[in-house]
Amino acid sequence: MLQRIFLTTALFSAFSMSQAELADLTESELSDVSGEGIALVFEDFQIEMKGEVMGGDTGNYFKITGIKDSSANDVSVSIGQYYLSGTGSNLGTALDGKLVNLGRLNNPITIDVLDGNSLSGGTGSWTDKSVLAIAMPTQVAAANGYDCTAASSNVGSGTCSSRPDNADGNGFHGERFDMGYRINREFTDSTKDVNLNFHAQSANMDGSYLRLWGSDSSDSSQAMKMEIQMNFYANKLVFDSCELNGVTACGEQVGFENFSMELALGDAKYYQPMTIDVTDTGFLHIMVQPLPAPGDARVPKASTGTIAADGLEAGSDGTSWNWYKDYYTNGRKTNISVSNLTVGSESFGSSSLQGLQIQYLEVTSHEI
Amino acid sequence: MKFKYCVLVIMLSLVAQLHALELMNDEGLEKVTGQNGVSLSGELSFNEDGGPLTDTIDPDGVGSLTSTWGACSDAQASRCGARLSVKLNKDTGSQGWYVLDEMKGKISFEGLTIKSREITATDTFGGDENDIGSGMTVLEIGLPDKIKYENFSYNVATSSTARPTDVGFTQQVRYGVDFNGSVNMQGNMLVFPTGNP
Repeated sequence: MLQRIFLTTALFSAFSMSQAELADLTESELSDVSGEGIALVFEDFQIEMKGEVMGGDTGNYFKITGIKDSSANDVSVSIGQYYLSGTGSNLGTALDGKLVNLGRLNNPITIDVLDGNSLSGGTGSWTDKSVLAIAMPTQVAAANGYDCTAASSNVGSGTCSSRPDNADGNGFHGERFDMGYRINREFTDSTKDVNLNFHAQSANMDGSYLRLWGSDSSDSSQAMKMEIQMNFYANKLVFDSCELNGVTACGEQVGFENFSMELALGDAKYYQPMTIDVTDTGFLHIMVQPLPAPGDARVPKASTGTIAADGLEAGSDGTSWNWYKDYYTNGRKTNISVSNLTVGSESFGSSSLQGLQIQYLEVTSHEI
Repeated sequence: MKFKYCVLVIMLSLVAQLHALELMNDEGLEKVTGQNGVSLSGELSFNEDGGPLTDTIDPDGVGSLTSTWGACSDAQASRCGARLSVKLNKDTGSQGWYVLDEMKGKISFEGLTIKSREITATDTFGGDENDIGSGMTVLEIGLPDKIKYENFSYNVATSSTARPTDVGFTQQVRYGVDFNGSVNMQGNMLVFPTGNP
């Protein structure tokens, strides 16, 4: 009995103490509170892994396994060095003090749940769905952004929000990163061992995102659906091959200057989400769903939804015809460009791939 | 009976101590400062001391396999370690699984810190600290200096069934990872709310 009295007294005293500190929020305070996603900024960031073969601590190794050569012997792919740092790292050899911010306070990396009805005007395969979105910093209006590939630039020069080193003379290391791999492929016959190095200088991934949403019973595929925008911009990509320590007796460098890749996978607005699933027999199955054919219930139509045999708008269902026109004009497209391809001191000029649209893609893995 | 009195006396003395607690007034509270943040170190290990292995031991040769206690390095263990299977399809779709298989080894880290931080004009964000950032409170996760892997490995695979013991099991290993050594890191991860869902 005494115990109960004691416990009750203690509990009451605890309650009375803490409750006094809680106060109701006023209407005006409540209006400042909004439901939010999560924003991430990496501040003064650097990461490096280094195998023993390239000067790391004794016993360090980082291997990718599961690859076999034509004689079914294991091929060991070891990551001699991986780094992600601030710019000016001299291909990963001068990392001290080379720090980078990933994301800005006013344009961070975000993890958010979006309303599918507010994306692409409420149409497409995410209608009435919640969409999980993981996004890198966004692209901005050219007046507020920076050139996406230049190693130094000032505000108003492009659409990337990540700033290069010392942008506008602010003395700040910015949000562009150096990244690279030095990889050794080691075979059973060690005379065949190969070193391959890849470096990206002053790079950013602004505008990239991964959006994921579920399917319902009316969908042709029950797999999880996604739309991916994979942007990678770099002032220069450098490939070379050296001895297995990654730095001596290197061959000529192959360089891609002002590299810009905007890879669009899936286009939910036009019912073309990308799906990745595993088949009943355990094989990987990747699809970009086919563009709906004329007459498909999902394609808007005025009457029949048919397209004339000559392909002209006259004679076709105008609403459907314009929907396809909109797809080819405004649908998501892949662009890749390089301003100058160099091999050693030779220059091979620019090359680009613009406006690639995927209308249907299906890949299934097979056992070999 | 004596024991009961003894308990009673102890309890009364505890109650007497409780009386020493008093509500703090606002002035008193203002003077109290708490240490902000925590520092964490951690270690995750799989099968470090071995576990029951059901694999290739078939003592009488007639088919039924026997469980033995052993470590992943033991010869009979052709498969060993933790397995994580995920299926993202509904039951009407294809029935395969994504798998992280044969996870074993150890990961450890030291010096992960978590604290709240107010962005002020003295912070360096290339001007953003004066723009949107000033006065904003963020969760600062100080990344550990080193993440240490000790013979840490796993395979990424696709599989027809959740478990290797299920009927009709086939599995394709896409690639594996085998890490030993330290990964060096520096910097902070700042977490704060954003967006308009």
